[in-house]
Amino acid sequence: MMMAFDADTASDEALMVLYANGDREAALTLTRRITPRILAYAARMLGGDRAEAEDVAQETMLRLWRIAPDWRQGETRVTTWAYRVATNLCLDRQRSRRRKAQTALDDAPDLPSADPSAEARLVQADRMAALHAALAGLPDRQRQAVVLRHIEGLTNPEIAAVMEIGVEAVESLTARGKRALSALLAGRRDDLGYRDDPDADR
Amino acid sequence: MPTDDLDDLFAAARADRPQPSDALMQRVLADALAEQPRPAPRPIPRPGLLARIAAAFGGGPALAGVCSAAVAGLVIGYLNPVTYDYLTGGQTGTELVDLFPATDFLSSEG
Repeated sequence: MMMAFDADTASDEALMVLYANGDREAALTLTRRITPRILAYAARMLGGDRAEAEDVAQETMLRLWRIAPDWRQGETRVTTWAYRVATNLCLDRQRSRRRKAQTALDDAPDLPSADPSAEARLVQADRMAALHAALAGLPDRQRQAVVLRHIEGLTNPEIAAVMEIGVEAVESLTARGKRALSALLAGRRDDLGYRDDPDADR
Repeated sequence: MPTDDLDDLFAAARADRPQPSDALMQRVLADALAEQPRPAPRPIPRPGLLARIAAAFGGGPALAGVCSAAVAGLVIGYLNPVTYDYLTGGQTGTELVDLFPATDFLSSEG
């Protein structure tokens, strides 16, 4: 008989062990915790391609389930492992479908927004499309570092673990990535509504 | 693009995080349950020697009865029943009781 546990407070690593022992609640909690993060990350890495991102998220989670019986406690965090697998899947897909990586503005997905204004929604969609297109123009490692740091909100040590590099290398990649993004978006500032945006003056 | 605008763009991206659809969550959970290792069935313990002997005799109570009878037989066979005379008061002795002291009258005429 399984001991009762609080799935909401258990660590991802503990949930992996419980999952491997046949606990269904652990499967549900891990699904809810990790899938949204991997989906969001994959969407940024794949230029906003939602369908591709869902495939990557599902495949990443499938690999997670399969490695659970052999999971070694303390070696790496579950999220770090998942980001690493998702990165490789995204890069594989981009290599095989290089043309789709360059998302044109016209093909931008209709991303949901909390802004009630239709015009604001369009501006937001344009900005996201421009960001995705600019991200797609970065070298793979810079894109990965910038997305993890500035959009997913990981710390530099966490990113270093995901990318299996040093913290200083992460700082260098994110700095170069930001500079490259600024250059790529330099000519789009007016198009993206930053001239009239009061937030732009902050 | 100025750094402030880029930071604003990042903030907008964080706020506009793609959310997984219910269908995706269902697919992932279905994969999880399909791939989940099943708990190994608890092995049925092999019955011990005594248990198997008891089963051959029809169960523990039956074996107990058989054993009791065997022990009783050994005791009765080993011990001399004569020693129990004090219990029976000699009533089971081999004295002759002459129920018909004289039978001559049966063969005489008259």
